[in-house]
Amino acid sequence: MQPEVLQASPTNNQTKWLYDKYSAPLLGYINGIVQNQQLSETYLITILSRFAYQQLQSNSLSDTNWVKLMQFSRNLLLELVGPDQFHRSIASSGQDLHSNNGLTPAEHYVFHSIYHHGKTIAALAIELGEDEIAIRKRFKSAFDKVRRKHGN
Amino acid sequence: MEIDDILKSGLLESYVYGAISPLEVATVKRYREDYPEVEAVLRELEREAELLAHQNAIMPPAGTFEAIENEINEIRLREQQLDQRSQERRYRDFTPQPEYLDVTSSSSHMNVHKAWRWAFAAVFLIGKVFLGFAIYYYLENRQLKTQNSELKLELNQVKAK
Repeated sequence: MQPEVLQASPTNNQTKWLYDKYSAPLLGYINGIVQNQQLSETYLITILSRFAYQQLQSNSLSDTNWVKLMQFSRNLLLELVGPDQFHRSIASSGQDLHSNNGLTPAEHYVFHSIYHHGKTIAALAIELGEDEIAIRKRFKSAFDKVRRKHGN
Repeated sequence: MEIDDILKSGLLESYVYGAISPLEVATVKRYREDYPEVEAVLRELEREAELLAHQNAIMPPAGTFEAIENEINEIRLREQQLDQRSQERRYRDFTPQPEYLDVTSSSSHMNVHKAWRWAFAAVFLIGKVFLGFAIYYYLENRQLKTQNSELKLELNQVKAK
């Protein structure tokens, strides 16, 4: 039965487009979280195949953007790695990832918590004992610094 | 909220990274429809998030795409099998089933309940009693026939005198 499925060339083309466009940044993102090249490659296969299948089923693969894929990956990684291991590995990896972007420790913490941990503004506000407006502004400030640093 | 306040609030950055509540997501979607500036900023933020991700990109090793294709095909087959099973289950649930099952067995022996042994013993004893009566009446009959023929002979001799 497998060759029958493989003959569906438009599907293959769409998957190839997704792979060519996002496999490298996604592998970098996953590796930034799990800090293990071999494991990252395994997760890349799982994440991209599940994402592509889901998007193909709903005919929305062409509407894919990086943000959508990143959020999907973060949620699936949390499921695959387990919450404890997920947050532990991020905690050890995140220190150096954006440390050269000129962020203050408070900005770094907020940016890192949202970018890698997938924490919400509301959760961070409770955790840090501050209001949501202040956390949102800090995240904006951190995001602006990171993109300026990378010349975007 | 004024457009400038929206842009400076960090709400749009938080939206792009999925860090806001469903209620705030709905609000941003409304801003996106109402203000072309918000739509433009969101597109720019999404583009920048993608560029940022490309800064840390790592090229996957050769053969990764084929592995992804195989994985997709396996997911598809699994889903098809699940669909098929659920369809069969639905069909079974809605098809009236016979009240009794046909029993088929390849064994040449049969099992009988122990209670039947008294019935078999009774039938055996009754059979023996009938056999005894049959033998008795057969011998009785044979003796009567002999006596009858002897009487007939004596009667003929008396008539002849």
